[in-house]
Amino acid sequence: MDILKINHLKTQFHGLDGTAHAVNDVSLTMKKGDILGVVGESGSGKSVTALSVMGLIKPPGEIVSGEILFDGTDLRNLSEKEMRKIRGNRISMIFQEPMTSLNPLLRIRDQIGEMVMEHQNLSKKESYNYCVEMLEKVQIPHPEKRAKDYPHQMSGGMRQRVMIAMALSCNPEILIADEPTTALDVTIQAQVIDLMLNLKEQYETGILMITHDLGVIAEIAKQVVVMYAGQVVEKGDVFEIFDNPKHPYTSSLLKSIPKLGRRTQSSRPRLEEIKGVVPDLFTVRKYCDFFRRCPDATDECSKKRPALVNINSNSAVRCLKYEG
Amino acid sequence: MLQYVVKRILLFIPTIFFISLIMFFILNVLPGDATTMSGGLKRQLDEQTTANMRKQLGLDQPLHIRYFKYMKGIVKGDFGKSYLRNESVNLLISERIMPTLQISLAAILIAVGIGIPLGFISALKQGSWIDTLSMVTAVSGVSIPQFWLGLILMYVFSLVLNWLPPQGYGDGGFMHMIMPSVTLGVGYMALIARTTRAAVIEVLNEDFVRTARAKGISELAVNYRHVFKNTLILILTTVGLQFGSLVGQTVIVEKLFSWPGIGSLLVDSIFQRDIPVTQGCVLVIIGVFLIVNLVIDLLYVVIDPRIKYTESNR
Repeated sequence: MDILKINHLKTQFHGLDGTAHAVNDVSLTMKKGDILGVVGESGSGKSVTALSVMGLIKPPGEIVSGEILFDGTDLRNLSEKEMRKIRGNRISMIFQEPMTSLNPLLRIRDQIGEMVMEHQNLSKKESYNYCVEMLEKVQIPHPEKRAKDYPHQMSGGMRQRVMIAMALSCNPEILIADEPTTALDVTIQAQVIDLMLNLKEQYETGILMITHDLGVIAEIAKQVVVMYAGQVVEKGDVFEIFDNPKHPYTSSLLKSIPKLGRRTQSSRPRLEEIKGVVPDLFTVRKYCDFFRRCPDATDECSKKRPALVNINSNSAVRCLKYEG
Repeated sequence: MLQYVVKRILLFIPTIFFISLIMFFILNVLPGDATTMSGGLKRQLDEQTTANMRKQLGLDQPLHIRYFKYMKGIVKGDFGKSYLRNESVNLLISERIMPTLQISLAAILIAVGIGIPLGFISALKQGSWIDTLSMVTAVSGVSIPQFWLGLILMYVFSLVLNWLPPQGYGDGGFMHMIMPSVTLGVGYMALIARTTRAAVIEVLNEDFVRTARAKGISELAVNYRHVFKNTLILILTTVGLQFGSLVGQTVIVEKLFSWPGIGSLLVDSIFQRDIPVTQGCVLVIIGVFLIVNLVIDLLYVVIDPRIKYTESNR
């Protein structure tokens, strides 16, 4: 069953320099209890897609068109009040920056507490007990004591655990994790990911994992969506994408991952970078967005915009090589 | 914490000492003294009388001896005796301080009570007509000179509408307080509104506000628990710092409305070269300013758990 289905979502930001097409016709599907990885460089529209699902796009941003079907209902049709019942309760989100994502002036138990009080009708005291329970689940030592702490008394890894505890406290059906490990040390990263996987098993929560770290995706995701310049350029099964990437962007991304032990080889090849920068989102191009950086570009690529072509039932690619 | 408070209070002493030193010498090198000023503009006292008066007031002694005498009194809490009024400065100030505190507090209430909500709403409705209107009000509030605003208020509410008494203290009643307090509070309010607006806009962009929204709690809870609390420090700082200039502005407002406070006493004493009174007033004003800022620094601790005044982290 599809718990989340995004159809042709377009989210734009209107500014003085024009309109930024941050998310430009994105469609994706997530099965209940699955882990869907969304990969892309900064500015590819990953986070904006997530915030669109959460209904947290504020002016000057705007969802222009498309559907966000959550458990069959289009979230775009819900009132702010109805949306609030879903936010944090049935869909929750973990953000990239654990250092700044918690309110510095409130105790941890109040920050988790206000959420469970809102969605589960607990009293203040019950919410405190529940908070301690959640902190224990995310393996924070001395949870009773830590619940009374303020964020500044905790390390980054600890704060991200608090965020996870908070996000899972209402037992959501979808957890959106927006680069949850990017700001953490490598050792802490592994712990946090392990923790998320464990909790996913326990709660049967589906995870929408947004990251630019392909290693994380390879580790945990089942389905992968690769985004570039606000569009989906490739999607498919994780093994298929890693073993046999179809879009030149995906294969370039894979080549740019450092591999342990490669430097010891005699030739010492440099890491392959993707030349150039992400194209600006203000202009609508008549040619492929990846054209200027693409190693396989042909003349045709400068004349025509590729469409997303289905390869089989769950994989698709946006490249002229696979068209027609 | 207690240690910190004691330390801060002890630091008042050198501050006050230093200010009194500068003030004493500046006031005493001003042309003219109490004897020449006491005669008024037209009447000039004759040589003999002024010489006698100088001797009587101790003005014939060298400056450093006079300063030393003055400081000896200050240490004992005695601000000396007025040159012209035949009353102790302590008594003069104690009579005048209440009216000043009255309108200052009223002005702060107006400023905080209207300024903070106004700035908050402007920030939340950024770019809307409410925002534009309140910011235009705020800019005008800052730029309107008080003597002008006071005169206009007097004209409208006393002369034309005859609702409020134009001047004076009355018996310190509410009606008499309205116009001086408003005149004093408008600029302050405008400043607080602008500071609040800027602070709220800044906090609204913080990650934790996004987190709060993602929790699905009501917008009111987001605004109060997460936005407002985080803007308080900045607002409080402005309130505290501006309190100093507010007390300075009472000089104009009190003179304008014949309000018998420290401000008008200060102005009169300067014109009369009644140096002990001038100094007493200034020292009291500085004392109030120092205390207010200490209180605000202590309030920081209540608001922000990250701020602690302990020996270990200084």
